[in-house]
Amino acid sequence: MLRGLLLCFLLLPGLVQATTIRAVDMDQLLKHSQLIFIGQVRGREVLTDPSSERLFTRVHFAVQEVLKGALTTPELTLDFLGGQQGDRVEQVAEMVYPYDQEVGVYFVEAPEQRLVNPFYGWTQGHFVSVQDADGINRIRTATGQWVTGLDFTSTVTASQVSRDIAEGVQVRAIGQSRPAMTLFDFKQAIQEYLEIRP
Amino acid sequence: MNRGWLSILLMFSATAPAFELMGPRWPEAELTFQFDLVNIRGQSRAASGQRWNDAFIEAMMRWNRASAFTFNAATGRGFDPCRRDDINTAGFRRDDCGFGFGRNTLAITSNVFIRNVYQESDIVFNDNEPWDVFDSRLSGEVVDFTRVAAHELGHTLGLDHETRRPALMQPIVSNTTLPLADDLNGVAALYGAAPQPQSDSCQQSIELALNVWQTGRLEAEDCRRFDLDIGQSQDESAVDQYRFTLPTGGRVVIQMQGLALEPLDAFLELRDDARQVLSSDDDSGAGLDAMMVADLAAGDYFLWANTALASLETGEYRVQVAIGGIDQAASVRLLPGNEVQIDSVEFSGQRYSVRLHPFNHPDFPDTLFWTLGEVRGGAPVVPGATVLPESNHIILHPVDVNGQLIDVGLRWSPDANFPELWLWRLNSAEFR
Repeated sequence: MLRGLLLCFLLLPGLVQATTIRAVDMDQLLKHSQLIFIGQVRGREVLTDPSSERLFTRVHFAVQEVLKGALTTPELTLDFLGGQQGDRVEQVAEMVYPYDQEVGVYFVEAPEQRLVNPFYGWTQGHFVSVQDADGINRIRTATGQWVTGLDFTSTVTASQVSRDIAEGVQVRAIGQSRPAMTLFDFKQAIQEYLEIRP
Repeated sequence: MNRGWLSILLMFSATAPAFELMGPRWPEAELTFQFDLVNIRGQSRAASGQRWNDAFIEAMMRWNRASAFTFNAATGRGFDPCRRDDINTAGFRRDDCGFGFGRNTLAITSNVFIRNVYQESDIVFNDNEPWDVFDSRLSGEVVDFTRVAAHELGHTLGLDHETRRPALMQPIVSNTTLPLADDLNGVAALYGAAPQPQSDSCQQSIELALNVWQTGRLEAEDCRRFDLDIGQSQDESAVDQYRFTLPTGGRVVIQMQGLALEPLDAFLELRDDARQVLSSDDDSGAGLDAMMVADLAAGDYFLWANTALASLETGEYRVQVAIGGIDQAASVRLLPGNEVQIDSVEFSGQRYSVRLHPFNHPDFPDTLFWTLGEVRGGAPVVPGATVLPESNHIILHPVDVNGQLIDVGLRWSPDANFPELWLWRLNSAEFR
């Protein structure tokens, strides 16, 4: 039970984050993400939106496991506003794009909608799995902090704005040696919570 | 991330600053935004009455005043923030150029750059969100437009989020409304050193005559505590500095009273002529008012009229240094039958002698009410009570109840059922 409430993990460093985003907590993250999946980035391309002429980055995922929602194919494509084409860069402040070959756990707000950032709460719904020296996959936040636990009881206030990491995601403090959550434990914690609060 | 971007980040990380940079910069330390902010419902003003344009300009000014970078505003014509037209603009939209905001996005800054030089910056505010303009603390769903705009303009400058030190560029929108030292160091790294934040105006003070109420207003343009306590404070509250001279030593009563219906949380700081703190007070007056009693030697003193909150709080107030103080103030007495006799009350600069009669309000049998009774001319002495000009609240400072001194606040409480009566109810009472 304790494992269901408090778990551990890791993530990969990203570039920047999102502009001004409301904070979300783990309960909201799981409740409002229509699709939660484990997958790997199989390719990225930067395209121009024909109507606005703005750049966006199209990311192709190979879906390994769906934790919530349904997919008819093992592939998924998500668009993110901004990107780089040659010398020209359209930079969306705070946007962290999944990098090529990245393996992660992704919380997608509405896969049928085209959003500035399809992840629920931007970096708050974006976790990366990284293999450690022992070959164990551990979880980091999109902004590079090792995740050491999940607390589903933490809540946010309406006026609270994102600090890049969802409320209830516990990250390793400087100097701590506590190991990050494994991908397995992270997945299991989410599944257990979804069983209780589908 | 291209190599140029990376090298700039590495260059700055070598000097171990706390601020974070996005990489590129503008070719000049000056930028013009062209905009005419009207939301989708056609409103050019926030619920508070302030124009969105003015709030955005205020956000620009928060950077202009404190850094070497200058934002210019060209209003009167709106532009589409979705178009890549080399025009820097800001606007409300229900989506961001065909991409939905999602549930949690309040505002988005997108910058275009080529070889690490910015070409264009556009800021889009999510018009599905409840915006307003206010300086006070954040609470509830409504978000203060100005501080979010100031944060977004930090991204326009090239600043990234800062998570290690207090900063406007922290990812959490908070009670921080102004660029702090860390933000300004980031701007200085990109565009050169800023003028000293402690300008001469922060050394200037207003002469305060004794025994006279001086009305003032704390506002965003005032010097801030972090300007005055350089390196020692992140306190953004505004400060008005007064200077007064005591010709002889003696007891003084110093008061600061908020004048609005939602008054300031007044905070007073008494300093000697070397500006060293002698005494301070938060709530010793009625309600949120500040009051201090001090025995001082003859000489020059500074008085900081400030607020208790560390964030910016604006509003009208008045301040007074009374010599002789409570010993010479006209008395306020509670008489048999709960009558209140005020020998000298100040109202709109005039002095009156007033009697208040108790009133049994049929709808509030457990609350103490008084009505205005006899009014006569009052003696020209330090008043024992004050009627606040904007609210008609009465501050009794203090009232003598069987030899005990109590600071009392009476709230002006007009009642449609008793239109002929001037009614006040007991709002606060504190033993001195």
